[in-house]
Amino acid sequence: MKSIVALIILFTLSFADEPDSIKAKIIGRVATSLLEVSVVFIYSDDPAYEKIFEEEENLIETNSCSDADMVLSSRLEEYRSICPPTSQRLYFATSYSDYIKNRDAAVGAFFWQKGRPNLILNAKKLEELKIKLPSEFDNYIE
Amino acid sequence: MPGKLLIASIATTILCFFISPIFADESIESLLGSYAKRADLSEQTKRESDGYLIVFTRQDLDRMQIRSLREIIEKIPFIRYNESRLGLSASFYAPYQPDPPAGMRVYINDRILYTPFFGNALKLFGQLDMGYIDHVEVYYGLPSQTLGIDGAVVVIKMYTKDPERENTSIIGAVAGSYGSSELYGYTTAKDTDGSRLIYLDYKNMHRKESSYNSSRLSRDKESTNFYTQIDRGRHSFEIQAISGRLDTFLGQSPHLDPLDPHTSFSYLFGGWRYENSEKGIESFLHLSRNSSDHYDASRSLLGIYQSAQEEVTFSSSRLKIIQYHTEAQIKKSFNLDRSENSLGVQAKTGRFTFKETYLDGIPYNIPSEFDRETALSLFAQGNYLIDGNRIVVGSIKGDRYFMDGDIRDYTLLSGRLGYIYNSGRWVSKSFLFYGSFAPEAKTLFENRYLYGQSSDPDTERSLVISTKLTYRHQKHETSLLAARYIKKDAIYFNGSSYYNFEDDIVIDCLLYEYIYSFPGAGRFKADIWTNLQQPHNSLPNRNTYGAIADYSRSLGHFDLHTALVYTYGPGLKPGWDLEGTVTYRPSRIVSLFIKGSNILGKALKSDYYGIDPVTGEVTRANDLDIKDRRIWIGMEFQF
Repeated sequence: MKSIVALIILFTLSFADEPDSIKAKIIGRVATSLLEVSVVFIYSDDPAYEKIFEEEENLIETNSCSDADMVLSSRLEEYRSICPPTSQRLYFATSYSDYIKNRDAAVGAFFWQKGRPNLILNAKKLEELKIKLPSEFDNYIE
Repeated sequence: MPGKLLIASIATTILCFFISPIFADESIESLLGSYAKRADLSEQTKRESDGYLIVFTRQDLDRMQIRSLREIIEKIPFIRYNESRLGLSASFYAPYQPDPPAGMRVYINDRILYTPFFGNALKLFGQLDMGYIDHVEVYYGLPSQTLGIDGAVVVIKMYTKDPERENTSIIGAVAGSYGSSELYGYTTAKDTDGSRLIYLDYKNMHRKESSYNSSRLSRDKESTNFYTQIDRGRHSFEIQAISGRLDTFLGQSPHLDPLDPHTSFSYLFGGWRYENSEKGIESFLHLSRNSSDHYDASRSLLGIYQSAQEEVTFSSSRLKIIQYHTEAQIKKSFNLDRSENSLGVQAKTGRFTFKETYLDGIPYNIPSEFDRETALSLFAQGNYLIDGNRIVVGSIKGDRYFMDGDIRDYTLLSGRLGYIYNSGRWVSKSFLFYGSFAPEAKTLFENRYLYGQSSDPDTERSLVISTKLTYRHQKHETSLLAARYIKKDAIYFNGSSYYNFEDDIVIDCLLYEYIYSFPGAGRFKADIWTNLQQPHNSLPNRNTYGAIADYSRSLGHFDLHTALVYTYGPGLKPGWDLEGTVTYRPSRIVSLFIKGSNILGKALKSDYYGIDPVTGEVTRANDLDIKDRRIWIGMEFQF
């Protein structure tokens, strides 16, 4: 049933990019800019990000947070003991409340609020880690 | 209105056209804009195969700072926004004529905004706040009759905010011209079992006052609106309570010399919705109660009634009506081969009770056995995918209306066939629609019990053939729509009864549309449209022309919107409505906006007249503003 519905929905979408692929591009752009590398190993436990990175050439999803350059989660505090944040392993929140709770560790957050997707980059953390981002991110640093 | 504010508003409107820095398509801002657009809730709810569609997304509504639905209606092609002599939204208003049964239908989620006696509740909801609405879909040209229980030329579907996408609490305040004000707030919460939204709004809408025949004409409206939505897995619950007071402009005064007519009202709604996408089952149950207390008075004469001995005139009236509406639906969707199909049954019942009726302070008993209508509808819809580029759509619906008292029952049939071609660059949609529509309860009631007729008008029937061709290339989209709308047995009022007009009414509709999508968020849109109504033996040519230019964009911390709407109708001065909005978001916590509407003071005006029921003397009031020249200033805090 889902396949026909998907076909009919796709039929009406004028072959535009799917939201998940754009979301993956956004995370890819942010992650590579933060880490200043061309490929980032990323770990996520958020169901909203499940299998969305497969087509994103700048991101490789890992099965364990210990292998990751970036941990993407709405429960970041659960990783503090097993995969603590370092300059080589960045924390990125997927909910605003989790970002606020882990502001000392998270370098940023990407989440829905007030009906819009929001990107926040943590100015204090960027300074602490001496991360210099391209100017296109200036509007998102707070 | 302060002159400097008006000048500032005009200046910002003009600036909107010129501020347009160039973004690379793949900048982070552009990516975020594309994501917001493609992940918008409307992408999950809109049904392109159901008709010709305009979507006002959440970001569109935010940029426009929409304060009420009426602001959207005037941006719908082929529609001229108008207000009745009671100062209520009525796009198809014509003095003394009934609302067309297939005019405009408005829904919030699955709920039709409807009252059993007065029919379409757009009259009221067109003026109310919209802070709990996420996005609006407008289907026009008699879209699929399966969108709701009643087919219509225009179907407006409003969807409420999704608590999971809000994740915030908001309070806001708005102040506007003539002393208008609005206070609102909402909060959302999410837990492991689901989510919820709670919304509250108080609106004190003062309109520009005018006077006529030494009478003060007021359309002020005051309302309090509470809405909550609770989502629990496959179940969703809604409660809405609205109360308020409306100054009803000219009232029913035949000499247009009203004495402060007004209506107090309350609206209560409770709804349950169940959706199981795995099994393809959707169902809902809606209950509503509407109470309205109408006071009307006139300096001279308000009306006449027949007593046992003679006709008696009166100059004031008070009427309280309570209306109950229940509707339920169950729909099953399934796939067969390459088709997506759905079958469903809908039922609704409406009851109305007249209470506390007084004419000149004397109790008056309204003679009627008609106080309830019940409708049962069966519908089926199928979309057959021929291949990756072509789809055929079809739907059929049958309704049986059971009327109480000696009003006749009605059987309605409607069907729709469509063909859609989409190659990515070229899109064409063609539809053929036929439907019959029952007169509204108020029409049937008045015909029998006010005008003493012994029979009821027949159904009104509509036949529409339409086609739209769209060409899309990169950020550009251009389209041409042509339609012929044939209305048969149209219901009219001739001064002593409602009857079916014997001539067919034929309207040819043309629309040219151009859209440029800015990288990321925003667009420029231009529409030019016309309704060419062929003349009849007894009706003159009534062509209507319109054009809309609409610019909407987000730039850094600013949201910008400006629109110019032109409408020309028979016997009226052309209307130019320029509006502009600038929203500034200096931080995540605060946003500020300034909005000007009818900035030029040249928006469309309307004519009204009254007929003395004794002498037949006609009193006219022409060129009364429908839309005030107005400035809004607002501030919103987010927690």
